[in-house]
Amino acid sequence: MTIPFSRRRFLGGLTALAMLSHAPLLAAQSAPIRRPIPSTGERLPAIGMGTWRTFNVGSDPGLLDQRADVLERFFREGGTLVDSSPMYGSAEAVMGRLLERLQREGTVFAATKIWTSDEGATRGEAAHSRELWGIDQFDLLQVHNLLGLDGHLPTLRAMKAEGQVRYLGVTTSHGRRHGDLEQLMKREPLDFVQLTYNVLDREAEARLLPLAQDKGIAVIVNRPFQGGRLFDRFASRPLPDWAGEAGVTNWAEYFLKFIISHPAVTCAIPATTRVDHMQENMGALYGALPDPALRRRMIDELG
Amino acid sequence: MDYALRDFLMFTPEVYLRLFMRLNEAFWPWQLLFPFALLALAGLLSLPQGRARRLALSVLGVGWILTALLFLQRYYEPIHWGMAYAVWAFLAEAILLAVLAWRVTPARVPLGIGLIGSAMVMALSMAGAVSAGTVEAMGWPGLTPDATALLTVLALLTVPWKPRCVLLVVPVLWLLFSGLTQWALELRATLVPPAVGLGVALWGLWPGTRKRPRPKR
Repeated sequence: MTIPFSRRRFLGGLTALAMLSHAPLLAAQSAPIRRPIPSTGERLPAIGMGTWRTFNVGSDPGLLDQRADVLERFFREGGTLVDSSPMYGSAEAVMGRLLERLQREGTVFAATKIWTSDEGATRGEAAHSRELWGIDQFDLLQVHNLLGLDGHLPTLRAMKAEGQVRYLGVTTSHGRRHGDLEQLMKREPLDFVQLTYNVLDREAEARLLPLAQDKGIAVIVNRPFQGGRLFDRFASRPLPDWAGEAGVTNWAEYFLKFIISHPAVTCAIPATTRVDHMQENMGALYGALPDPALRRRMIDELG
Repeated sequence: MDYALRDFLMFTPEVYLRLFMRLNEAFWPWQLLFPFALLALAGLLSLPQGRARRLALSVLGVGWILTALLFLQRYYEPIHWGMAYAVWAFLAEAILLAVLAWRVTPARVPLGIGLIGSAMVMALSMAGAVSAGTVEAMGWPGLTPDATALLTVLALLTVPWKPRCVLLVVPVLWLLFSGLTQWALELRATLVPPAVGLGVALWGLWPGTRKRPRPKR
């Protein structure tokens, strides 16, 4: 048997060889960016998903279908951490329905919050949230905005010791109570803190993020788009010429890659109601990240 | 990094407008009776018999009950935990209207004025439809809160100043809350009914309007 040889086959073979030689690079580029949780070393995808406003759709069948598509895209693109709270209306119940529908209970890194001033209600609220989510165990329980902290934190610690939750943490937003958070981070053994940090709101850079690195605390970043205001202000502008150097192809990636390129940040949690926006957000989970010089440039560009 | 009004919003404009669309879908075609109820209200308030005019207040009370149990409890409360309290406030307003109907006789309103008021309320009930771009999002008086509160504010102008002030508390608080919600949602058309309602309520609360002659029972 003779193998027909042609110029096309020869060039095709060369191309295949060239692709094989670059295989590790391609694989590296297609792997999601993951960050270790310092207390265990478990690696989390650096882009998660928030549910404030976006997943509070009640029992509306049409909107549930839309959100199912958004959530499925999130998981397909490599996301795992979903963050919610009892404060977010029906968001927890919606998440439970959709996880069951998509059969993603085993994929999700489930994070919610304890949001009650009744410091004796920690276990009861966690159990109620667990029922709404339809899961056996939360990966992360956080004290919402430090509310009822003195009562909730010892209980969460006991629940962690009993194996009822894997990680514990506290949250703040809008830059509030950073002083209290700093004291808490110095004093308490926390797995996670959640705070607001984005290309315009960088107060956390001064003390909280270095402290988190120093103490080995994972950092979840909320309001990465300033609740959408960053798009309102900047999305009509063209991306700067050097954006490609920072691994950025759209404004969502610009804002998110700025955040997750900080070495103290574990995960950013943008929220969206749209599949195309989810696709853009998850683009930040792949490819190059800006180095410190490019991060400075990213700030200056919007300054 | 200060809080803005929209940071307190728990849902998106789409979710809010869908509440009205889902209510209308579930309630169809019974809501078509509500414009006739409005005409009946105008008619009752125009009659010389005090009993008929007091019945108008009771009919309004039924609207507050329907709004509380159908719109607020069934549709709004799942996306806003604060609506659990609003349901009780709306039911309290219904009771107050029933008590008022028992104790006070509203002033007689010329039929033409009543019809103009009814037409205004119906026109403003279209605000949701304008925002959503579909008539399915219309907010009917007696079934949805803004239109019900607006209608009540207008009707309360027919009662003496003191009970009017008491009865206006819940509608005014609701219209204020709803107006802020529409503002934060950036829904300009649906902002109009609360704004008009608050304007009328302010005028009705003005002490200068207290000298309205008290009608004989």
